[in-house]
Amino acid sequence: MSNILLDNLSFGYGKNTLLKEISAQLQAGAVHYLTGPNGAGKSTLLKLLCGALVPDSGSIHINGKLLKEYSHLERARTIGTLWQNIDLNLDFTVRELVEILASARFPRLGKLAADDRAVIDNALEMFKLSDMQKQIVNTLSGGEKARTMLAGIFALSPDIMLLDEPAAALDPVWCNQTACYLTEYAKKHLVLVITHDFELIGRAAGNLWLLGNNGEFFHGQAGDLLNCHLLSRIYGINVQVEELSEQNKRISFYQANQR
Amino acid sequence: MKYKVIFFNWLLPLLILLITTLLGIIFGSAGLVWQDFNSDIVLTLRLQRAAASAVVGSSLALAGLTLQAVLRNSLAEPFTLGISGGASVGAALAFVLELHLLSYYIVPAMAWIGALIMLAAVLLTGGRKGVENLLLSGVIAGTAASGVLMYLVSCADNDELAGVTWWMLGDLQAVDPVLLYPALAATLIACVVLHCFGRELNALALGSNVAWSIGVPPGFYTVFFIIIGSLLAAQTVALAGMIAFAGLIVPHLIRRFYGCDHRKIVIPAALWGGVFMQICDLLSRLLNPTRELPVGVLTAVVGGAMFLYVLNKSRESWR
Repeated sequence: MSNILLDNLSFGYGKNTLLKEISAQLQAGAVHYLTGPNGAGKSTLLKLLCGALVPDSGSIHINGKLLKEYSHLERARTIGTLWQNIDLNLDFTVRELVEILASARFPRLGKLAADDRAVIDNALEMFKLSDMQKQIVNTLSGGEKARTMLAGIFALSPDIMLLDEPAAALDPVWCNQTACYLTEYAKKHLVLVITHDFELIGRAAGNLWLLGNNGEFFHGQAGDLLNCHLLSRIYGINVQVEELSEQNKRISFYQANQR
Repeated sequence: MKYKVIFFNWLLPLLILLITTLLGIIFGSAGLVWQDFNSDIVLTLRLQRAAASAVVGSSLALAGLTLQAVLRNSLAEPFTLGISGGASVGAALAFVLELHLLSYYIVPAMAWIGALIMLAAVLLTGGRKGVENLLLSGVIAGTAASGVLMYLVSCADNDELAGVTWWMLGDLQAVDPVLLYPALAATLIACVVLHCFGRELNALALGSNVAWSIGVPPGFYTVFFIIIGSLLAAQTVALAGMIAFAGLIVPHLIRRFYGCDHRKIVIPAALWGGVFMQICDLLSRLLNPTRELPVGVLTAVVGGAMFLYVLNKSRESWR
């Protein structure tokens, strides 16, 4: 029963309120998406959801328990976060990085047990990293780095998976593969993806959280929420939404003078 | 596989540490132990000196390793961050104000206070603006500290002068045995603590967002590790003065040969740090037997070259 419940959540940096009285909930079943223009507060909301920021008012319940009542380790075990930018200053190997990212589920000292090692092997295999597990992450390409991070969060296999632009550096093949993994994983766990990719959002079966620029917040079934009026109001640009088939919409953005 | 790890991480450096200790006892500017009439005294002195070298080397290696992980910068270490400079001003102040007559522990305490003040200043001025700024602030702070140190030297009486001067050079021949055993204990404790908190060091090395999300609150642990690192640095200053770059060379080599996983490299770093300093001390005694070379001079020259090498290599990866 993975779920997130936001109740009247508000947050701002200094006097600027970025998020105003957000109430929403999410459950396992399908991949959910969070999107909105630059600076609308997506990353801020992500930080609130994993507890790195504390809301000014309102509350967040994760699996029925207040987020701030989790211990650090319990929280890290329950909520896995994939950050968009991570700069590595030290030369960790692929395997080491995956192990560190999933370390909340492993004993803190001593050698890993055989089944813990199998968890890492499995995650490396999922993202075809087994052959490069001893390579230094910093020497890899952007896409390979991104796969290493993804392998880390799948090795952790948290109840709640929050991902910030997981596919930004991936090629189309790996984009697809990752989307498949996430869809499968979302059947039993809660998966929330931050993205600007409306091709992905157009095919979403889960919920969509849409953040506007003035603290506006819209949420609902992705298919219901995706209409040209709402999107053009939020993005301030013309939007066309075509229904290609059930649960598959094509969303195109264009300037007024382009057509 | 498992035995190989135990051998390379523990037994090999331990064995070499024993060998270098033995060499440190046998060789010295006074000649071989068994040729000496007062061999008991020579033995005790040399044993103390070998132990002091090991403690100072281990402390500096551990301090460098910790600060590099926490500040996410492979060039961070007590000397480049100006911590050693701050500590030596604190320690020298204790001498000039004659506070050291009150208690043996005043000197290390003052050194630690100096180290913390300097570190706070460096982090507050340059810490948030990227690696290059941090190092620049550290170097400037170190220069300012040595300026103050010069002034203290110029104020000192003749008999105090000798005591203060060797701080600027870094020297293992005048280590006070009263401070040696507490420092040895502190180093062992720090080594065990850092080894047990390897997961947290790894987490901080990945930045505060990742650290938080894998269950390591970055604020608390950054302060925690900085306090440990500065304590280690301060005690080396109280024991042997400013020894440049040792905290840079050893962790760099350790990372090259053992990798970066802090759950595995803390103990090798401590042991090889001891080995490194004992070898440097041995060289400093043997290179010019009639008039010993302060060990800080040796590490400054070797480490300076290394610093430039690492700086130019790591610049490519800086954005």
